[in-house]
Amino acid sequence: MGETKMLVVVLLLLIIFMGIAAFLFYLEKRLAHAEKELKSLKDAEEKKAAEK
Amino acid sequence: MDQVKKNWWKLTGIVLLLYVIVGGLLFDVPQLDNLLQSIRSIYFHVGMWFGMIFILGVGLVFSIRYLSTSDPKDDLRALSAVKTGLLFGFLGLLTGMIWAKFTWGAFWLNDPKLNGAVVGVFIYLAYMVLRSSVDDREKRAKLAAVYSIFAFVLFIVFIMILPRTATFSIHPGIESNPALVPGDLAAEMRPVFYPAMIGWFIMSYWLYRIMFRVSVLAEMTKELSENKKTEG
Repeated sequence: MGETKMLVVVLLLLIIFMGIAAFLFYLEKRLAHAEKELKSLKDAEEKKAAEK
Repeated sequence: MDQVKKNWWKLTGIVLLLYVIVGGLLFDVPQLDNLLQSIRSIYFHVGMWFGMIFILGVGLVFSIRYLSTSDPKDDLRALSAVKTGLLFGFLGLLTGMIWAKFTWGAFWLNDPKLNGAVVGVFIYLAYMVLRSSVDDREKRAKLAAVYSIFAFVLFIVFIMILPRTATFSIHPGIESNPALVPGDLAAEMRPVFYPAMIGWFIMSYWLYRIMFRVSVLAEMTKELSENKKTEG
């Protein structure tokens, strides 16, 4: 009984940790997207300023 | 495949910590009075503290670098490292408190290492307060960089040097470096403890990198909106 309980705890912790890791990868993907967008906005602004 | 190559060190950290969860909770540990099964906390509690010291060390390096380069990105790197260090510090305190409750019967005891650790965390919280109290970016960065150097030195004094002058502590290490000196840690715990330390180092560095990217994005957004305001 005790061992089964421990196995359930381990499984739960594994799932939680994998969830955190998956979330971090998702966050990095979103960050890369936002970085790209902001960079293009900044480049457009610099271009505009140079034209002026 | 490219993603695996690019993220190999993060995947290594994940695999190591998954192994630590399994090994840390299921592998054999020595049965010591008082500690009993709670000794398994060492893989998590100590790992988080080591991760914190490592990442605060990264913050110290960037603070020193900022003083010589004045690159705003170095300031953001130092800030991100401190934020990550604080997160690990709080997690370390929390896991330590839970451990103390099951081993010593109370969440907090008047222990030199415990008190030193919380003072160390407060020193870094003051770093955040200091940053928010200065408006000028350059001044803030310089002040924060200098403070960060003193903060790290004080932090080490509070968690490593002062506790060793005490006569008693619930923490090992008054006489040596606990878990690092051969013979200090049971042989059956080493195959989990060392990977745990590497895993927590990687995890803290990964979180630091994410924090840094978020900070850079926030700065860029701020800059763009300021530029738009001046144009308007």
